Amino acid sequence: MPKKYESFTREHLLFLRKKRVRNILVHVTQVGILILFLGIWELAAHLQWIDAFIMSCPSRIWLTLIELSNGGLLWKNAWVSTWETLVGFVIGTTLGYIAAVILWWNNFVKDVFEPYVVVLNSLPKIALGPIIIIWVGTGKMAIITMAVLISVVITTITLLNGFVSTDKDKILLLKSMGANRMQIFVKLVAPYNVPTLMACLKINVGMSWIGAIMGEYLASKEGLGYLLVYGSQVFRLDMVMTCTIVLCALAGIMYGLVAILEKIVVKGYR
Amino acid sequence: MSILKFDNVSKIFYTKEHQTVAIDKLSFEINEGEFVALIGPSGCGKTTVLSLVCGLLQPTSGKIIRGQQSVTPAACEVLPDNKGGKNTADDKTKQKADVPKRSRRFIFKPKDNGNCKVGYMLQRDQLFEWRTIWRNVTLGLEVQNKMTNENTEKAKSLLKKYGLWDFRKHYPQQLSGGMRQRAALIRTLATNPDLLLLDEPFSALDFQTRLDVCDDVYDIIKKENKTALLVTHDISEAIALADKVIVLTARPATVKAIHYTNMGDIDTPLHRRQSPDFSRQFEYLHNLLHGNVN
Repeated sequence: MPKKYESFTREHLLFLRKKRVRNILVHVTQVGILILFLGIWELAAHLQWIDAFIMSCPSRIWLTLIELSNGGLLWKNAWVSTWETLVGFVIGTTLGYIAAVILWWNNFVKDVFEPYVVVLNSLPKIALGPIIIIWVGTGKMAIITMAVLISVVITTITLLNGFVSTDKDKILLLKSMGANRMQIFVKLVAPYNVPTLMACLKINVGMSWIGAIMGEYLASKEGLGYLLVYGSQVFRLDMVMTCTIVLCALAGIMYGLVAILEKIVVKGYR
Repeated sequence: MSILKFDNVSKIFYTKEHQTVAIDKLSFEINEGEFVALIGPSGCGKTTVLSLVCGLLQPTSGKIIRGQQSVTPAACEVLPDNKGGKNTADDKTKQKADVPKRSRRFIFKPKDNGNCKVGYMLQRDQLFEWRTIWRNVTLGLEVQNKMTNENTEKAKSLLKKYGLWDFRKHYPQQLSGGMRQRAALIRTLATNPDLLLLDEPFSALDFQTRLDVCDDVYDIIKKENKTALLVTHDISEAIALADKVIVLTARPATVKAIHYTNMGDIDTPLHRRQSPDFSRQFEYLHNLLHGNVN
């Protein structure tokens, strides 16, 4: 028994064990559901309840995964998509942050631009696809632009809301000390909104993946989005399913990394 | 010597539909070393008075005189001069040389409108959770670009004197409510203000803590020999702390009465509360505020 627990009462230890058992149970159930789902899927395909050519099945996905990895095709395309997403993520978040700061800084500017931001936010960004292709071409730039467009507006809105709702009394305190707008931002508004920024990053992981994949649907010669479209056109549903699962895993990993970052950074800010 | 003087000050707020006279021809005076309490029915514009004192609001009419007559922003900034020289341009250049270099590179200089001599303590402690106690206490010095050796030494000695030195590297959430309030007071004192403004500083605390913190704050303010203006709706708090109680009317606020507590010989607010005179004064002020007088 670790030293830490030596002083604990029997009831306390029981309580801790109960918590641990519950935690393990949650994880076991989570994995169990996944296994059950894959098992039924596999079984249904084998017993020909479903058509494995259209619905695919875990074993075929596994074989496709090995086949596609051996040629390096899958990982090359996955890397392309990840890179585009990351660039879009960074640029989108940065631009959104800058825009939010400008809007917060000057109330006149904020009032002037509010309707534009609202309209841009409700506009389905995919509609801009053709324009993007004509303006920046069909290469990676188009895809990154799409990823940026999708994440930038929501970042601006979320952050601006955070900035505006900074504790009024704390602003009053700084003002009474003679602080200017710059100091209020640097010493209060920015640190106060670190949690908002972290929430924003979490949203933007999803947003930039949507942007990148949508961009690849529109125009591309590589990337997971391209493989998805290609796979469906040649009717290789195994390939489509495999790409989808790889996509799931990549987005999950990226979200997980941001969540870890959040845990480290946010501690102490609220 | 008068440290703050309101001379026929009025403040009118305008909205689309109507205008509200928040303060009407308010005149009062605070002398150096005095502890003054401002009480009035809720919504009578007490906080507006504080904002005016701070310079965060400008009066619609009337004059607010801080410190000596015709205070200019520059004169307000001048540090005590041990050579005993006059407040001339010399002092101003000397003062500028004291400012850390970093500040001058900054494009956005802090506002220098003469509010610097006032220290504002708000409801709740308003400590920044992401700063250590030390960095919280020196926030005002940082903002005013006054992180000189002399000033940080003073902040250090305040922390030591009032039992927070060992906690200087702690974060606010690791401190008790009373200690947080004390840290907030030291933050206010660190910029060496001539006048402390206390805006219901105890209202967020439960009653027991409030009594303790009240004694604590009173003790520190008296020891540091500061002038203070307390705004509160709590009559007993006003009597327990203040030398002079200014009673305001309902909106538009103007002075209804000025009451002297004359309890300077009793050492702590808690002991004042136990004095037989206390309940008599309480009744008097209560009637004045809520009663059918006038």
